[in-house]
Amino acid sequence: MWSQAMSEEKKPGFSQYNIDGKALEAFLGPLEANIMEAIWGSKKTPITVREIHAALNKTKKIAYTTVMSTMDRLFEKSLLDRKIEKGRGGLYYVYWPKLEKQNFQKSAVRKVLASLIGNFGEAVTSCLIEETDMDEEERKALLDQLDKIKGNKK
Amino acid sequence: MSFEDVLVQVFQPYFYYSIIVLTVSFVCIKIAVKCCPFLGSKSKSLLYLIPIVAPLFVMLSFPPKIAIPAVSYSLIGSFSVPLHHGAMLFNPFHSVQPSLPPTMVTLVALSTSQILSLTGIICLAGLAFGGIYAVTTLVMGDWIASRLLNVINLDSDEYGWLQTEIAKIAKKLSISTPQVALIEDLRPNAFTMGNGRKTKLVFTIGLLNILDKEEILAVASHELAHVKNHDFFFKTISNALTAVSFFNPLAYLAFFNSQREREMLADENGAKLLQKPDSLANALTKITSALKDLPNESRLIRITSNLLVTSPIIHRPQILSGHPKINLRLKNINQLTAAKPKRLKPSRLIVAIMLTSLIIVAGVATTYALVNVQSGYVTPKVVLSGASYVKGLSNDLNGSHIILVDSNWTSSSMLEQIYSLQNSNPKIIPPSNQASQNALPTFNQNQAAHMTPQMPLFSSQPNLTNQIAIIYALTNGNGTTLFIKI
Repeated sequence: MWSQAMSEEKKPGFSQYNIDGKALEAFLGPLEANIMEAIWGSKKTPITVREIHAALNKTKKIAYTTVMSTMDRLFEKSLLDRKIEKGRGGLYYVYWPKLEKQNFQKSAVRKVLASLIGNFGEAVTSCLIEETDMDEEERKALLDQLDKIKGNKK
Repeated sequence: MSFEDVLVQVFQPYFYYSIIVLTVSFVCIKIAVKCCPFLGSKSKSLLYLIPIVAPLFVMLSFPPKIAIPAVSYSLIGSFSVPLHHGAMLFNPFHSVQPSLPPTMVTLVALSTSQILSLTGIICLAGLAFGGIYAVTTLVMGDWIASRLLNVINLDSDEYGWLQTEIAKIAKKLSISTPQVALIEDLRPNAFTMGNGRKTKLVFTIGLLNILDKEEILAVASHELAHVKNHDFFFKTISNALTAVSFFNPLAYLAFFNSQREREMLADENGAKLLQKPDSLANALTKITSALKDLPNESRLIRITSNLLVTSPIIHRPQILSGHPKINLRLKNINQLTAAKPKRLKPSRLIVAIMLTSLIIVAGVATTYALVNVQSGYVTPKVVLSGASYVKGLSNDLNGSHIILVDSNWTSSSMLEQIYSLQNSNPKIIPPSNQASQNALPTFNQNQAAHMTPQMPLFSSQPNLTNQIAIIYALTNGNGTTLFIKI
């Protein structure tokens, strides 16, 4: 288990978008989102499963093994990175986020948007314009942005 | 510190006797265990406790002291005295013996004083360590270990299958079901902590990762066998007893030997609980090979597992380890699955019993002989009744007695001892009046050679065989010196 290749470079990823999810839960499962929030919110980096478990347990009772397997999954998804550290409790994994919270959000939104535009191009543009309350200048800037995205896509 | 001072320190009964009994009993038990192959692991583990229990009894019988009396001699001088029956000379300095003419009296100052007993302090420290350790561990050892190792208790739904199986085994063993817990360590291991209802069975994540279900259960059975055998208590007491004799390396050997036997016992009992005893052997093999690729455990884990935690499933092989070598353990487990060994023949049993008796007799005799070695060094009383001086005197041509010079006013009991060597009913007559004590002449070493003794202070009863010993006192700036005229 510990011999797992951790150097393998993967892009942080998620494979689904949850329309009803709030904030990070749109991209991640609820526990995954909580764990990521806890890791980003923690002053300590890198951090152990036990420490995240203790932090989450303050608000809601949760099993250690659940946190452990979720963090393992987040590592598999390349949202977290990890290494083995030797410390007081023996040899254990310590985890840290691959991206800062804002970078992650940006990257996730971009991914969703790119997917929407790729699939539904014009509809996305007009929806965005309708949904937002913008003046002429802002609208023009947005259209330019979308053109750019489209251009990049091609 | 002179060599004699070192001997006085070493030969204090609490220290010297405890070393002797531990050493002799350990050697005897080691031989006995080799000679008696029919002894089980349980008996062996108990036998190995004897060498570390014995010093405790010694220290209870001869309580260690912080201050001990020390004796020092100095030759004051010699002078003539008119003696009707010849002089009896006492001199612990062989260089001056025995060529003094019978009309000479030699003055030897014998001073007794209190000195710090280093060995007493060591023994008291051992007793204190042992006591504090035992109480702390029994009361809160599991709490401390949990904190140090960051133990995480499992909820009832985590590793549910494992918790159910553990509950079944515990029921089979008639013990209360322990709390199952984890530590994050990636090195495969498992151990039990605490006692009775507070018992915890702790697995490392590493162990749960590399073993299959059957093997994990085999490890659990081994650990539950430790619980059944009360090994937390056993180990705490053994550790405390070892702390009492912490200055004796053999104490650690006895402790580790005893722990190895407990480990074998847990392997045997654990394997018996399994449908496939082989799975314990497989688990041990897997754990050992996994540990080879991992760095050593931290010092904290080693210390915690040695002092506060009972019996991890495995220890990295080392010379002083409470765990037997892995191949010995595997052999032991495999024997369980093989045909049961035949019972010992009566003839061999008799030989074994005779041999054991011989070892016990030899042990007792050796202890007795070694204990006598120190008799000359312990207290002034023993010094003066010590064989070399008194024998020398009794061989004197005049056939007379004793003789002593002492600066210690409270030495009448010591004198009594000396007289008692030749008189079954000795009696020391104290100074007749206080004035005689106060009027003691001042003593000057340079004058000693020409001084005539006066003012008898003590005299023995005249029924000493053929002499009357009269003890004189002289005082100088450093105290009072007694001497004797016969």
